[in-house]
Amino acid sequence: MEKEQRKKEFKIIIAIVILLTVLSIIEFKFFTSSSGFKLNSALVFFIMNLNLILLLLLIFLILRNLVKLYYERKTEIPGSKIKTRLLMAFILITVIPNALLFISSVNFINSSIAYWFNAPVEQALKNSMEAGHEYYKYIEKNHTYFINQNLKIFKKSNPQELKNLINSSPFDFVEIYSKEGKRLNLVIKDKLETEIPESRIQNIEKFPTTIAKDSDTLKLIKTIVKKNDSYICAGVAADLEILTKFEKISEGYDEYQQIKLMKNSVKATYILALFLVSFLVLFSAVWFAFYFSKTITDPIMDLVNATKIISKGNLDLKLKPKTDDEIGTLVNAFNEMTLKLKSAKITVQKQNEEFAKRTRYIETILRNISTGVVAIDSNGIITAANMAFENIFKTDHRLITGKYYKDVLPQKYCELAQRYINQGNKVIEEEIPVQLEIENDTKNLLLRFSSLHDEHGKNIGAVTVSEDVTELEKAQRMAAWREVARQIAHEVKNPLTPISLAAQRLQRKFPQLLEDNIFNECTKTIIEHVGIMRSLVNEFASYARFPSPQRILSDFKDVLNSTIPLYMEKYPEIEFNIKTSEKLPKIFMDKRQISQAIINLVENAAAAMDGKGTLEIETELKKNKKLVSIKFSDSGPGVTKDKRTRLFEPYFSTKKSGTGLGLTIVNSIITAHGGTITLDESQTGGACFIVELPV
Amino acid sequence: MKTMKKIILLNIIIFIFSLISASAYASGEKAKITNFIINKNKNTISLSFSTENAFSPEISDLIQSGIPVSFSFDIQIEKIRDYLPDKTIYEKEIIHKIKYSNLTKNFFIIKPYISEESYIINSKKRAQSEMSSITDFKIDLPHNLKGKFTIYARARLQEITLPFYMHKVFFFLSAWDFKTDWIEQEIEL
Repeated sequence: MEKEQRKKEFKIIIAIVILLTVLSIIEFKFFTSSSGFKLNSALVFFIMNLNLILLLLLIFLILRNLVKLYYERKTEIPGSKIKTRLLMAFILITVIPNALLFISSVNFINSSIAYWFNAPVEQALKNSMEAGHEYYKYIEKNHTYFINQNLKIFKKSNPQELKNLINSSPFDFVEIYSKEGKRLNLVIKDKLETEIPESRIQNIEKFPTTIAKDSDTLKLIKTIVKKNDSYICAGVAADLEILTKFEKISEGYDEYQQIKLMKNSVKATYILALFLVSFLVLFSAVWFAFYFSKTITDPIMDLVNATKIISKGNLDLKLKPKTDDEIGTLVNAFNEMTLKLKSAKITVQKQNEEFAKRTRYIETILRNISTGVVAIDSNGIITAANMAFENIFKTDHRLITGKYYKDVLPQKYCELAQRYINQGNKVIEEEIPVQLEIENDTKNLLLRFSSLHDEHGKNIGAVTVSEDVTELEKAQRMAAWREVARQIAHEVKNPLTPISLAAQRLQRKFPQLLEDNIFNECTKTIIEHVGIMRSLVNEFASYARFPSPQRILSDFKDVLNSTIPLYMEKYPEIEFNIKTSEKLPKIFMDKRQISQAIINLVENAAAAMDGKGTLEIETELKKNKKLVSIKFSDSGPGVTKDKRTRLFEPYFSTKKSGTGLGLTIVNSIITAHGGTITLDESQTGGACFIVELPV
Repeated sequence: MKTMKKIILLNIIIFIFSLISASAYASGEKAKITNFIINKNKNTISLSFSTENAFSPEISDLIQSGIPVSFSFDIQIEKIRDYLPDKTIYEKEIIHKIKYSNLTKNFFIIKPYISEESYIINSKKRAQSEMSSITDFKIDLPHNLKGKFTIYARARLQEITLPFYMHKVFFFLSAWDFKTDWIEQEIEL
């Protein structure tokens, strides 16, 4: 758009320059031609003023470009500096010789014009004019003298007498006018055969001598004298040669006077013309400087703009070389470079895509493995962490990535990591079992530190693989306990029956001894404790033989509603707050086992609260509706940290009378249903068991 | 941006024309009509007036160098109407011409409303006085004309013909040009 406008402006300027030149030539011819070159005055006016307006327009356009250049330079538009330099160079090249030429020309004009109007010429003309004037005065004097001498004859106004007077005098004719200006008498010398024009008499005292008739062959000079009530006129046929010469002198003098009057204007016109030409040269130079700089800056600007476009990633750009010079070569080289860049970009893009694909694949693997992976660079800055790591350490990779590992990871972990990070170039791979406390949760982890090395063997950090073996170990312990329970049940149960029978037999065999308190109490105690042991062994046996759940699609609320009311009656001093979600879906479960788990948890809570307090049971759908969560929050004393890890282990109880199997069984049931049970703290400080079952 | 360009161009044009008109005004402001006398005789009006400061030194020099100079006198009579714009009933342009002969040292003046022939004056002062004044210029109006009228008059310099067509360049013309304001006088017939 701007290019088109510039092109248009350039055309206008060229047209103005040509027009100015042509008009100036016409004007010059017009001024210099003495005759024959006649121009219509309106046309002359038009040409001269048009020239002036065109000149002003040219000045305006040039100034506009200069102002534009000034602002371009001020705002540091690329190319403005070279434009300014070229402009300055051209102006200097033009101005210095032009100024010298102008000054010398002005001096020349001044001296020439001064020479034309020098004193001798003017004086000569003046003297000639004075001579002419004296000639007229002489004629006038003669005429007046003649009239005064012959006044009597004129008064008589006798035609014959007048005729005789004229014929005998050097005068050629006489006239007598009335005071009203009417010609009363005209007497002409015999040899003069011409008409004498009547004069217009003015009411003045003295008439100047005038030329009465003026033709190429005859010129009459007459003088009118007022005498009383009439006007007397005497005249002669003038010497044609002298009078013509005087008239020529008069014309020349007039012209000289007029030119003299115009002296300054003529001088100003010449200087103006010179000034115009100088300005034209200067403006042409300025304009050429603009044009020349544009031929350099425009392709450079195109290249700069193209570079910007390319830097934004558009490599399809191709510049058209406008010239076949060095700039054109540069543009071709630029296009070649762009082409190569494009092919390189395509290659890099392909490689990047491949790399991204691999990265995504590795990220997918890392995201989906249950093992936590974290990478730390040689400065201890965490560079990557997968989702499993986030879950294990209960953090977010966005919070830890880019941070120093000691600032964001557990201290124990950091102490271990420190050892491996400091190993330098030594390649170490080792598995370390460790127990960490992460947000009030004790986790058993299996850590594997691997130091990372580049292709030159330089240490670039370490990668840690963390495997959460808490549940695995728990399951292993459960299996071991079940085995123990089965063995105990088997080994302990067998001798219990003979012991019990033996005690009963002793009672039957020695009834008289029953009266003996010691005997009686001992046998009773044996029988009683054997019974307790049997029930204990039975519980162990039932734990060891815990059947697989028979899961069917059931409503958890039904199970809850059928179980809890019984315990409301049993523990009247416990306030049961049950909040069940309406959106709770049916889940696959063994209703009997889940009911048993609920009973155990309620019993456990009631025992913790000593049968008095508040038990909140809250159900909700969690984690994108894939889990049903049931919270049992009591107002009891809670569970201390040291007991938490062993809480679900068999024969571990915080109660004096507990078998320690209640929560173990709950854990077994929930685990068998694919769910989890975790312990948290309730808002009142008591225990909060969270059971999560898959939908 | 385009509006800005237009404004700049307009400003330049206004500046140039104001320069031209200011110079013209500066040189013509001194000339004025004086001694404006109207004589009524039935339906004949005779006007007499003269122009002051019509002969600037430049014009005087021009005349004395032998260049013929013309003064133009415009006379208008308008009928005053109450509810309508005034109506022009008479218009006349009188041209006085003067030429100086360096040979005879006489001024030749033509006042066409007196005579088509030139009359000769050898006094510069008198020639200027004759040139710049209208004396007893008679205007015959229709007999049935009645009411109030305004008579307007002004004087101006007609285009001077200079050597080298200098009179076509307005710089020179503007320096010598003069034009008086309209002088007006109400009369009742």
